[in-house]
Amino acid sequence: MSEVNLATLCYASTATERCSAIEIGLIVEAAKKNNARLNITGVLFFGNNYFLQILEGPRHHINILYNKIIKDERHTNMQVLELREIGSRCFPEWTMKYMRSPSVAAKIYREVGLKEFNPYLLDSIALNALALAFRNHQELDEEKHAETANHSELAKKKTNFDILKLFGRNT
Amino acid sequence: MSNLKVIQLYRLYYASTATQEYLPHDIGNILKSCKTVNPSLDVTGMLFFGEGYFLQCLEGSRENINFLYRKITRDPRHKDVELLEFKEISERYFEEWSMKYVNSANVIFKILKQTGLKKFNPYLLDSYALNAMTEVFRDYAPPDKTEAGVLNTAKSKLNIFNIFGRA
Repeated sequence: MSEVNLATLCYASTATERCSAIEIGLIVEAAKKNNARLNITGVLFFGNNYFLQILEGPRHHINILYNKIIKDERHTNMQVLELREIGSRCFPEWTMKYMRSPSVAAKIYREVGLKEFNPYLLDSIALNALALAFRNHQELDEEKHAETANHSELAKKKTNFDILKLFGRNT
Repeated sequence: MSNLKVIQLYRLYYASTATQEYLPHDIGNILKSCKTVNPSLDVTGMLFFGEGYFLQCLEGSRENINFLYRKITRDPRHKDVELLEFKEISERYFEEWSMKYVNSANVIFKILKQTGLKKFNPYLLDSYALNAMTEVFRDYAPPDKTEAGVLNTAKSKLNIFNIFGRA
């Protein structure tokens, strides 16, 4: 059965001076705790000093979280990129997935056609493709999957295939 | 796919609840500020007030809508501001209006009938109901246009700019 008013919100923001590498770890830990309580799942990207977060869950809870996040002084210029109804979650198993490896992240951006990571410029299609590519790279999230040439090639093929599937699908 | 694009249009809906600081004549002040602010941001939209709730729709560039929404959430005349939807659109519903104002009981009645809800509560509207409702609002012809919001006087001006190639 589908959840009531299930929605996804994407936002972009810029890290302030108050945001160090340690802080990002703390953000992810706090997010995991808060999100579980609110039945929210999602993913957090960090690169080029920008944050991109995708939240999914009951719309009312997403709003509670949004009001909290916007007050956080570790980032600034928070912009909502999209808030829309969804039929099912893209990251049902992640209270907050975080991409640890910048090289894997960079590879994914290239795969979805982005020259550099600037979340403020992402349109609806790019956001969707990015979310899907990240979901499909779950197995690459861990450090132990340091890329060998073969491994990357394989992952690339897999992701490209899924992106094509996405565009062929009427969502 | 490119991450650089011509300015894309977005539509945002939010719901909120009037506080005690909101007085009936405030609607005039709200519309007046829409008249000064919205044309400069190229934002159009609709404001509905009923049963103590506000439902507002804003259309324009994503950046400008974010700017306005942030401002709006800080207004003490309402509380519990909740985003309902914020999506890319291909055309505006309220092109002619810097802010169309609707508070007709007939309109509420029509909405309830269309959405199957017993009581008007904007917080519960899903995407389908929001869009069905917006069509009712768009087609609503106020008895007196001057009292029904702020016409988008910037429209003709903007078109002239467009001719001269301004993005």
